[in-house]
Amino acid sequence: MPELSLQSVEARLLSDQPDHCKPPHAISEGPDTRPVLCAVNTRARELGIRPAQTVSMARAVVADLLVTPRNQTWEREALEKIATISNEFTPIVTLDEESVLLEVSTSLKLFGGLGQLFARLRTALHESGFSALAGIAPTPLAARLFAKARMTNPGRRGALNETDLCKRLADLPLALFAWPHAKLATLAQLGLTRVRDLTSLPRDGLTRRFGKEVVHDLDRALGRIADPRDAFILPATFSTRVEFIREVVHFEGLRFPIRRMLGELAGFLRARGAATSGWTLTFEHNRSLQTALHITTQRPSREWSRWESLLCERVARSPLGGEVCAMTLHCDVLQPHEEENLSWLPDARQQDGKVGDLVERLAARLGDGSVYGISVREDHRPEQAWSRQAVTAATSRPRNPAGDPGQPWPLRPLWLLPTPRTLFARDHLPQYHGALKVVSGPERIECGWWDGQPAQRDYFVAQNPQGETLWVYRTLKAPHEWFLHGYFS
Amino acid sequence: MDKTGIVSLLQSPHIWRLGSVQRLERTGLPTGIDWLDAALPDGGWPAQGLTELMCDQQGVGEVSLLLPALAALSIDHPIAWINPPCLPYAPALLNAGLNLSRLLVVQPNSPADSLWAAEQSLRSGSLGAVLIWLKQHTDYATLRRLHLAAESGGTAAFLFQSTAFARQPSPAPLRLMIGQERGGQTITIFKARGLISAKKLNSLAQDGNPAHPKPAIVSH
Repeated sequence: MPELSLQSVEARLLSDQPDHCKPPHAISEGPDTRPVLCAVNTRARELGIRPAQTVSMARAVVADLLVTPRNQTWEREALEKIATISNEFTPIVTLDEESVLLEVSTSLKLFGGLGQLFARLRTALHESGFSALAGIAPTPLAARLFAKARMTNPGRRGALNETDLCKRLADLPLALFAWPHAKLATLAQLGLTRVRDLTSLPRDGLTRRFGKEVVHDLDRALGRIADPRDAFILPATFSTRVEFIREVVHFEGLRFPIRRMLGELAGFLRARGAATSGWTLTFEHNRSLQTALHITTQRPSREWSRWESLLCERVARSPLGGEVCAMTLHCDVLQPHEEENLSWLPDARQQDGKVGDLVERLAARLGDGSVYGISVREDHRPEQAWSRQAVTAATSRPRNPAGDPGQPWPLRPLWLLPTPRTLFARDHLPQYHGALKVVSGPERIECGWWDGQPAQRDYFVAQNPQGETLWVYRTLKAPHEWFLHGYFS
Repeated sequence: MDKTGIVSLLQSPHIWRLGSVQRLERTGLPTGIDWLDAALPDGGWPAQGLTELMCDQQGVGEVSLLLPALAALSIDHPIAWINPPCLPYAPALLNAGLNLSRLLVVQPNSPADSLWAAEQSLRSGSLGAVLIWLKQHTDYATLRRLHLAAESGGTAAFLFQSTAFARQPSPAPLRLMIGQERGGQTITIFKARGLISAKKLNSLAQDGNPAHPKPAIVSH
């Protein structure tokens, strides 16, 4: 990863401007008293800023140069993020200080060859704001050397087999090895600058003169001895964060970074062979205010475009609490991913999936409580004889579609008033748009004394002069009030 | 060929699939009431598109009219109730033979959200029927949107409205007015395909059954 220090900061710290008009930016390192630039962006380079200049000198050249101190934690996080992205392409990924190594020989067939694999990897990295130099070789150390060599000479090619490896590695400068400067300087003084200069020398002498390390590294690069490395293991949860250089006011301005974060989450899930049924996006505002949006889906999924549309519905319902200066996406509910079977003719499962999608969309826009299913409960009190139900039940196909209706209920109205309405009575006859005529009844319901909500009522079906059929009741206890409880629709 | 292509192809009335020929012969959803089936041009409720049911009162059997058809649909299709005026009461629906686990009640907070929810539900094409109550005035463009959504999703939409809108033009292929007269339910077919002037049907005259309300017909 060339200029990892800069990349790790830029991938994290977003600005809403396109690449070519980004402000000049540089990374500093070294002691506080005399910080030195270690990486500069394109704009800064155009203005004459170079690495190894001191910060004060660079500021003298470009007054509004943005200087960020080097942050090794961020660099490590960036490398891990790159490793996560790479994990989608191969199960074996290893990390070292400034590079990510992928074992690709087993993935070539799946992705349709090296060219395709490279192109997809490069696109995936680019979407997350990274750019990488790639080198390929049969041994990990050689691959790293080739990649590093392309920093100065972009035309340099990697090697796909052992014979190419020996030939092409021989041309590489020794300065690419991570050996101490003193040792490299001694080698240069002796006129040894390329790998070929060393391989032609007797091994015993080399070991005596420069230590075991040099011969050992050469052997590892050439594949003469094994070079085992620890594979990168994906974390169990996903978390990513971006910060904005300037606060973002409108949701539209956040859509691009959100899309990128969701894309990263989807990539992480793909690499883990998992799916998720929910994640949390936290917006950080000024003065440590936060808004957290929790998005859940009916089925575990890893389609970021669906998540994005759910998020948009949610934001349309409850706009952001203010200007946003940072966002964190967190996901810790991982479930195994189930691939869908494709069928040529539409099947029932697919239909259920569509209902699930619809319910998600409605719930995201209208609020979770606004979409529900209903069911009956064994209770004689009319207001207790039904219950709201989580909507998942309405979207899953019951095994026994007819179900067991149990005992048929007595005559019940189709519409129930949430709270019974008091009816005015004249000559002991209730009135509702005229005097009511009893059609049938009474049906006595007297129960519920045990849970503090007793009901002692006589229910009647009644009709008013307009022809509306109503469900009314009279309380058993004095003063025998009349109530309207439902409509027969 | 992509999958949506196949789905739309299969929904075309010109293609008969072996095993579902019977359903295609009668394009309408049977209402469960013989004299009503006979009066409606499709032999039942239109299976896709908008149907307007207009009535001014609440207890005149306007929803009961749909229950037999909904009971048949709910066996394997979900049914959405959007913005119902009161709580749809589960025991009564169960009595009518509806499969409660396939019911979806949507209670939006604003008229705009109701319309949005109705359109989304109709367009998704995964529901058997969508029942809609809109409290605000609906103009021609809104009705047309709903009708097109119902057609594109292949879903039956039933819109409950006040009779005040009877005089306004509507793209719905079927419009009914439901009322009550001398203890019997009257259904005025206001607009239907092939209908020249409004036709009034009276449940009393048709089946001589004055007992109202019709208790939920359990036909299992």
